[in-house]
Amino acid sequence: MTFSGATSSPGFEAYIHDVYGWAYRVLGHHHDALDVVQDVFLKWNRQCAADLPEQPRGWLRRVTLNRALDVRRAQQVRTAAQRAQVPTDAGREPRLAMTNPAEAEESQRALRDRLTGALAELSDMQRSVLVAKVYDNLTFAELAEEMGVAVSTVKTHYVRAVQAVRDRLTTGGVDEVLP
Amino acid sequence: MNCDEFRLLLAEAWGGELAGPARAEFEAHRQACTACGREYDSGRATLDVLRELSGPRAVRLRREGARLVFEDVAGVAAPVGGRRPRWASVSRYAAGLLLAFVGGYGLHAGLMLSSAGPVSSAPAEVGAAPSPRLDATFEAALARAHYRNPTASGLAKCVTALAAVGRAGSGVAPQ
Ligand SMILES: [Zn+2]
Repeated sequence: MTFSGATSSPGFEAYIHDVYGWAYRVLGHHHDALDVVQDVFLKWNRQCAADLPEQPRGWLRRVTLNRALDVRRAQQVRTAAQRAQVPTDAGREPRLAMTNPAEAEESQRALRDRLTGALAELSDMQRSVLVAKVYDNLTFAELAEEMGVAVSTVKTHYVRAVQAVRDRLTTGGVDEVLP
Repeated sequence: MNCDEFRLLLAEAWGGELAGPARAEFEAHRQACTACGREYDSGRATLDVLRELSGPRAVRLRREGARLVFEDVAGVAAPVGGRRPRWASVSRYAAGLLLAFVGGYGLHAGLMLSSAGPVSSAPAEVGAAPSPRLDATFEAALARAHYRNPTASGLAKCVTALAAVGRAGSGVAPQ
């Protein structure tokens, strides 16, 4: 990441691309991700303008993921309500055995829902560790320093997070979306 | 190495941080122990699925007065099988979305943030070497998923294969 122009203090702008990226991973949509960036920016200004968190990036990752998951849940509730109003079989679980792009997109959305659902069930620490490892490519040592915990603790959270997401994908209804 | 010792190294293995003699021992046990091999493979496949949720390749940010302007530099990487945002299809550079931030907090004029972005440049897993077991099971399952549903997205096929690997792995006793 390179900067040009005036960057005299490490403000929100130093992390804004990360914030956008984390939100995008969860939401999969540019505009929704930007909305989350704005929400997180406002929260940052309310809570951190006077008292910067000791680990700003870790704070922002946690807050961004939680906010993005909130947005995701709200979208899912709205979608479910819309489906409930549509008669016939429009409310059935989408399947992967689709033949047209609309069904493929619906299936993609369902899978993203399943993944974000799995992320939502993790603890804050597990979610942050998993996202930082998968998408930010941080080492366990870097994460331990950022989170202020032991490396062994980070590793434990990482393994449990991977196992929990795997279990969510392989059990509890994954067959519903399989052909 | 026994199964308990193997499990203690799963984090490093999945996280691409396993090296040296431990890596060789881990690899040997993975090859020899069906249960541990499946545990590793299923976790790695899960991480592959997560990486399929790709983010934007590059976004440029600048300030225009009290607003932030996002510009798509290399095109937003739409989720596999997904759609590109509507604005991006209008104009790659000109149709950035404007965000009006209340109060115009401390952004510096002329700030330009340029980054490779959160590209899913996944670090190599165990030893960067492809797992033979994964080749034999997960990738075979992927091929079957593709054969059954060639029009499905990559992510969909990945999840299908992951579920197949998970089902195959149930009920196997550790060594
Ligand atoms: Zn074993």
